Amino acid sequence: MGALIKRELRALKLGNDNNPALYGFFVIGIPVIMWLLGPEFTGFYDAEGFKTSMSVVGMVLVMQIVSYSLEREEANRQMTFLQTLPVKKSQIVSAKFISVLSLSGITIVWINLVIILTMFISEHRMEESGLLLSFFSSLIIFIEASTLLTYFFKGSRGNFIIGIISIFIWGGFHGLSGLFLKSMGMEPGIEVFAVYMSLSLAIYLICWGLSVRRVTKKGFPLNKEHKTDQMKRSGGGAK
Amino acid sequence: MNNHDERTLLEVNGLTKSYLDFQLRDVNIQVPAGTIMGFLGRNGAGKSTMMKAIMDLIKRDEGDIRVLGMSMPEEEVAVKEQVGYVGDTPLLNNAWTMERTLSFARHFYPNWDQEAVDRNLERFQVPFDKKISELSKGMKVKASLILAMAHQPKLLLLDEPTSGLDPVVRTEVLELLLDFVQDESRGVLFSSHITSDVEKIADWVTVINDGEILFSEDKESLLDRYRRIVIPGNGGGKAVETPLLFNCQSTMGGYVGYTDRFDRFQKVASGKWRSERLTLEELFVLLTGRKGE
Repeated sequence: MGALIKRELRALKLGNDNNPALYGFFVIGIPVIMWLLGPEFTGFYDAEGFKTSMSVVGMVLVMQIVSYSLEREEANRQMTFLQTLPVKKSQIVSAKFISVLSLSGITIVWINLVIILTMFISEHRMEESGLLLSFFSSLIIFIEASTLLTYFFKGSRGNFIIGIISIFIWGGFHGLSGLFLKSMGMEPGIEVFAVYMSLSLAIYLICWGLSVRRVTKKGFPLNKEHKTDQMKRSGGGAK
Repeated sequence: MNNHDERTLLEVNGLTKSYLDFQLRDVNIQVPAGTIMGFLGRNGAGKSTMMKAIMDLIKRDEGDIRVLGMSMPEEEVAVKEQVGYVGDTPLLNNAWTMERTLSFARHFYPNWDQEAVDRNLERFQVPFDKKISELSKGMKVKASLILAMAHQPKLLLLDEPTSGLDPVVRTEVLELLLDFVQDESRGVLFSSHITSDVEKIADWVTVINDGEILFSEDKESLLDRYRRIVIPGNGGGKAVETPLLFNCQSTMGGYVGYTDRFDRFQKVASGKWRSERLTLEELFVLLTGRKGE
């Protein structure tokens, strides 16, 4: 299992063979630059714009990395390769879910750190940031849950579109729940962050369980090459 | 391991798998230890489907699969420790080197034999540090074979490994398989539509056509059993009426037919006739062509 997870992390560019300078730049460099420039540097960034753009950058980064990794894996028939090894199918699925959750977690921590640090350094108030951070953090988990669920049911095709649809679903849910809270005369606080994160994590775990169940019962979805083989067969071949 | 014959590496009973336009029907085969079984069939006959079903890469509809007495997929981890599989398309990650592929795969096998890996890498001159995408098709097949054999499996499942390779590489691959079964406890199931490869190395031949096994038999007894019977002159008309002959045709010099019970034919046939031994390719064309007629 350890080797499988390590492999997945490397596929998601979190392995030790990737350039540490790049990660150093993202984790330390960006906050330092932001601090040097200040969030209101030449009026380009106001505090809200900065927070939103950092969150969007983090979200798109995770979506792109996962989507690209899944497509590349399918092109190389790596799910088939892994199934030839003496491991349970459930372990293959779990390694994927654990590694994507790790990537999402690291990105969420990164987004939050960058924003909190920048706000702190620039002496901005953090109170208003809670809802935005909880939205994007839980959204990242929700997107990846639906992307992986689709991947283990239908394959990698269209997984970026699934990500976009997930944004609208989670955004709609978030908006409605925010309106509900306001109608109750409540202001979202740290507990809202906890609720959204717990909910998205619960959805992630459910998708994980469903994927394990599906793959154990029916196998991995046919990749493009298998489908082409089938089409060739039905179009002639032995008949 | 109940009722398992120690000499049987693979038993497939009643395997069925249906797709929209294709069905693998009631497949039954056995691969004994110490043998290479050639699994012949035309493109799309169901060879790859059966191989994938054995490895549980696709889910079967019905049937029972046992490897070394262990049931698939219930004991898939233990089974896959004893099986090496090479797919119809190499399953190696194009972005990885052979070194990375091997160092990843070795984590999963308690029987990993690094000496054998090094020996085979040298024997086949497979570059260790080049990306798989930079290797030729022949090299990829050789690399896949080295990987499949690295954990000293008891059973090798090879799905058209020699397809599309040049004759030199094909010969190298076939020699490797012959070396592999020098240890009598091992066996190979080797699917192909290249009959000459199967004829060269297989002890046992199984032919599949349109999802059904036509026969599974020892190669020598198969080639003994089937004969082309040539009856010269015009008097052969009566002789070809025997039910022991099929596909009878009149030719310029007489009649030609085929028998699948040559020993019986010899006893009952009268008049002038002569028999010709068929090559595996002729037999394959005869039987798979005959079925479709």
